[in-house]
Amino acid sequence: MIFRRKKEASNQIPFWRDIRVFGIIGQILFILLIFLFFRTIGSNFITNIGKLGRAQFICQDGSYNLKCAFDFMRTPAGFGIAESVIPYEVTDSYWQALKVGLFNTLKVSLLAILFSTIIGVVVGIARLSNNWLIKNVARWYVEIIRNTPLLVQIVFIYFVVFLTMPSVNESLQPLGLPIFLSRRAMVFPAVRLMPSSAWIIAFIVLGLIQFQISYRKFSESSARKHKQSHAFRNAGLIFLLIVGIGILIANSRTSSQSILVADSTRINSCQDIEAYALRKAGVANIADLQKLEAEKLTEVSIKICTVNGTSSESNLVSWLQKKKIPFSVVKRSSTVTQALNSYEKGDCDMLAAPINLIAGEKASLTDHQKHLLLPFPESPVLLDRPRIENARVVGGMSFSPEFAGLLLGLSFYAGAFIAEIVRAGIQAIPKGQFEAATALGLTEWQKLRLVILPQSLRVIIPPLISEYLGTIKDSSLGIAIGYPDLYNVASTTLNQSGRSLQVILIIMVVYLTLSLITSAILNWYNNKIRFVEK
Amino acid sequence: MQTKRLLYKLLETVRDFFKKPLLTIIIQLAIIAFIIWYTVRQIAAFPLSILILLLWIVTVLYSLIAEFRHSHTKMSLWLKKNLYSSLFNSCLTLVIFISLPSILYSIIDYAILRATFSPSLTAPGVRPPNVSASWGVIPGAWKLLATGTLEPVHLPRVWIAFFWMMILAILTYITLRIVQKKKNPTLRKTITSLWLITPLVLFVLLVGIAKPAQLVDIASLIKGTMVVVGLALIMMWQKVIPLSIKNIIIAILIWPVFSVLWGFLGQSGLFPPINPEKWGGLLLTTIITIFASVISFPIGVALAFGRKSQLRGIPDWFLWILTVVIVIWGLATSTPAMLSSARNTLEKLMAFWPLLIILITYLFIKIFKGNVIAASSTVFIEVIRGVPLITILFLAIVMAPLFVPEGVQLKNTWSVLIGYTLFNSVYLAEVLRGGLNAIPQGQYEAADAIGLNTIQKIWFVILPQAVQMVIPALVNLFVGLFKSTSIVGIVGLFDLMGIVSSVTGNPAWQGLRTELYIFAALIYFLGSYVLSSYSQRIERKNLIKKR
Repeated sequence: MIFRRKKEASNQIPFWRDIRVFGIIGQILFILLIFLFFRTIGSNFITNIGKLGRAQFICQDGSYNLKCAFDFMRTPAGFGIAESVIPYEVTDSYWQALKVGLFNTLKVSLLAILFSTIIGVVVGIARLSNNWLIKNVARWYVEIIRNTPLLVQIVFIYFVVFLTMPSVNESLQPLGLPIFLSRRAMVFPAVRLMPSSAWIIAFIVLGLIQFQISYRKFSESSARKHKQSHAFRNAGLIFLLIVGIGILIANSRTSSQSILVADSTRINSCQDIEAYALRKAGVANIADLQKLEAEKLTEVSIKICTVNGTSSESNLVSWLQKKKIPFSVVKRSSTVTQALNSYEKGDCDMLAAPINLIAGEKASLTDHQKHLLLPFPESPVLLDRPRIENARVVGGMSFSPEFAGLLLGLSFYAGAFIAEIVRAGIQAIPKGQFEAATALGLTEWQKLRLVILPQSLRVIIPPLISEYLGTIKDSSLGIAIGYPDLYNVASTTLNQSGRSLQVILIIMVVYLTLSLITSAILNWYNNKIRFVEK
Repeated sequence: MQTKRLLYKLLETVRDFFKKPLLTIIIQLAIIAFIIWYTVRQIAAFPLSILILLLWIVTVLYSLIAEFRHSHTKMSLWLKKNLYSSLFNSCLTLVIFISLPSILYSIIDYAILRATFSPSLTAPGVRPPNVSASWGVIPGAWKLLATGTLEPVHLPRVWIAFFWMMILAILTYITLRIVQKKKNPTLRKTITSLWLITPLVLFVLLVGIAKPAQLVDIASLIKGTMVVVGLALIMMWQKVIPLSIKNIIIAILIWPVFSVLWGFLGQSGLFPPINPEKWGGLLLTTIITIFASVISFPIGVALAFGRKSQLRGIPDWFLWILTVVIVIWGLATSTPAMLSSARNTLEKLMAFWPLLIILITYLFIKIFKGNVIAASSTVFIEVIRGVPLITILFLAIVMAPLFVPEGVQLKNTWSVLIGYTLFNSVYLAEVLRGGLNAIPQGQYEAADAIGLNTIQKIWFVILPQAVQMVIPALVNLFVGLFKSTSIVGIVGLFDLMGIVSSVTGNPAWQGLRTELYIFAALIYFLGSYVLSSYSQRIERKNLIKKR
């Protein structure tokens, strides 16, 4: 007792009970503990890494140096990658291979994010439907998908659904749509943008800006006059008008595409092509052409040479398809010169190439007086429909079954989780909010836009973003079905080069960067909504 | 009279329909046209649908008539509320009515009607033609699916482990009920201590004990006893367990008793060691799930408290002096050498690496206020959370062998278990942190006010509440772990999924992927569904409690 009173008198806390000293001692102890831990297992680590290191850090001149750790990345990778967004060949470096992997990861995960959001929103709303059947179908979708591993779903979709599809020649065409599903590829119609579509895009951007400006102006003026607001409708009309002008301008621009026709005596304008096709087949009109047998039809069809990677092929093809003129693309060359060569040899009746490429090369033809450079009517946006040619599908957008399997698996899986997020977000709004909005006389759309969405988005978006990050990380499961994503390419790199430490470092750094970006977005958003809350 | 009123009502409804804006009418008509087209198509493909269509028409009429006559029965009210509340809803109901039976029929047709169930009819040669599913592969490959390539000699041990867990789980379930009524402390204590020795029992059964050279190694016996007694004394000093003669005796005896028992078991040779690479199938899936969730618990708790730690950090002036010293030392010793041997601009830039330390120090002070514990826990958690699980497993397989002494071969299975533990512990830490954040400040203050020390506060006040609050999230984490075990097949282990993939290569069961994948999916689904609906039930209970 005496002891304690003495302490109080001096009003001093002994240093072993002082929380500040405690904290610092605790941290020093912690550092010591970690140091000791690494010292005990570290000696093993150092000997082991030393053995490993000699192979890992080898320089080109055969010496060992830490700074040569990443030198191997510049040597040729030597393995093929089935699909890539950017150009890649076997002789390219490991860097290029990893870049291909990264782009594949981004491609599949961004698309999966898009699809899963759509699925999630639809299913999430369906779970709150007042239709008992819809509610339960949505519920069991979520339960089944959420309670089975993603890997099982991906592998199931890939091996059981996609790999059991028929071969290319017997491709499935669901509902007669121009979609070709086979075990080699899933081909969908694609939208091709011709160079002149830049006008439309420019005018859409312009229109959006104008929409924003006039929407604000209209709503302000109607608020001043206490009249019912038609701001959205009026601004929308202005937007449509501007886009319409853009479409008109784009349609009048037809100079960038062209075809080269063999004999200027036979064909002088685009209309003559039809007549030429009829003459070649020896029939009177197009309807008769359709009656010909398949073999005869291929024989008399117009033969076309094209240049790879240019949009003039799809332009010409869609035009010919519209006119119902039989044709076949007999040769795709990689350069204009090659295309001109095969055209001059007589492989094809006409050559489709952009005019800016062909104009410089035309002089190289032996008899260039005879050849006619024909400007071709071009639609700024055209639908590229896939078709079967020589047991393979050409045109359209083609997806490999690996990509499609991973994409579908990820989308369904993340979609189920997003559905729950959306449902929770909507349910988080008190019932009074709905009732109050109705009492104010807001329309359904206004209720959604002004009352429900702003509140539920605040609940929905944070978990949604982490779900997106989860999707990016889950795309690494593509290795199970052979999709060449970042992880797959990296593990092939490791197997080939044996540089385990460096490869692991690269993978971790890339994934960490992606997740840091995501969490930066999340933090930014959280701060923003916190500000609104005040 | 009645009929006239009904007709009038019907006309009124039709008139109201056409009063809507033109666009709405067009869209609705288009939807109706689509539904009619779809219905006709479906009936043509699957004639039984006519009955369904009739059922739909009858029920619609039933609820409509009840509505118009203002005389709802219980059934018609349910129909109206849940199936036919609006035109749109009625159409949706029809679409589902029409499509569900054909889907269900094709599933039943595949799984039962055209399937075979005999294990002897699975090989491609003997498989009867026109058979959809050969379920015989599952009893046929059952041994592989359940335990992988484990030697049959060891199977009884797996069974004992299985029953041990089952009986304990059932006992717990029953006692929880009884305890609620009678508050029987001895029974609860027995069950708790049985759970506490379960990891040991499972280790003996599933890993086994190598035959020791002698019964008990005296040196390790003394060392172990000292550690246990030391820990017990610390806990008594911090008043987590009461200081009593009984507890001290238990602390002294517990290590010798167990090591003697261990020695006896080892010498008897009853439980020879099992090669962990022989674990497979469901056994491996279960082992990974249980191992990772048990071991990751203490790590997760430590990480959660570490991240939330608010200790006063190392003073700024000290850190800055340290930084300046290190930077100058680095610039003086390594930079000139690196600059002279640099081959390109990047390497020249990298020669100035000491400058990075300034940035790190700045961030360390800015974000963590010099708190080493918070900084290291946060970085550890975020790094592991930022990369895919498969990368962690891969990292564990490559890195873990580097930490063992030379000559010791670390089996891949152990590396994978370590990887899963690390992975699960950081997610567990985040879940627990959520619980810690949800505890009101008053609880801390109250604990301080009644004079509890820090460890008592955490052990008796904060942790129990935090854990109880996040039980649903913990169960979901456990479910997630169970599901994620399916990817160990990618790094070369044979869990359920890995075994399924290899079984399909066996000539006796060639081409039976679908059946096996469905089986695996069912197993995962059953496990996860039971657990997750349990967690949902707790969540709902908690929600009611809160209100």
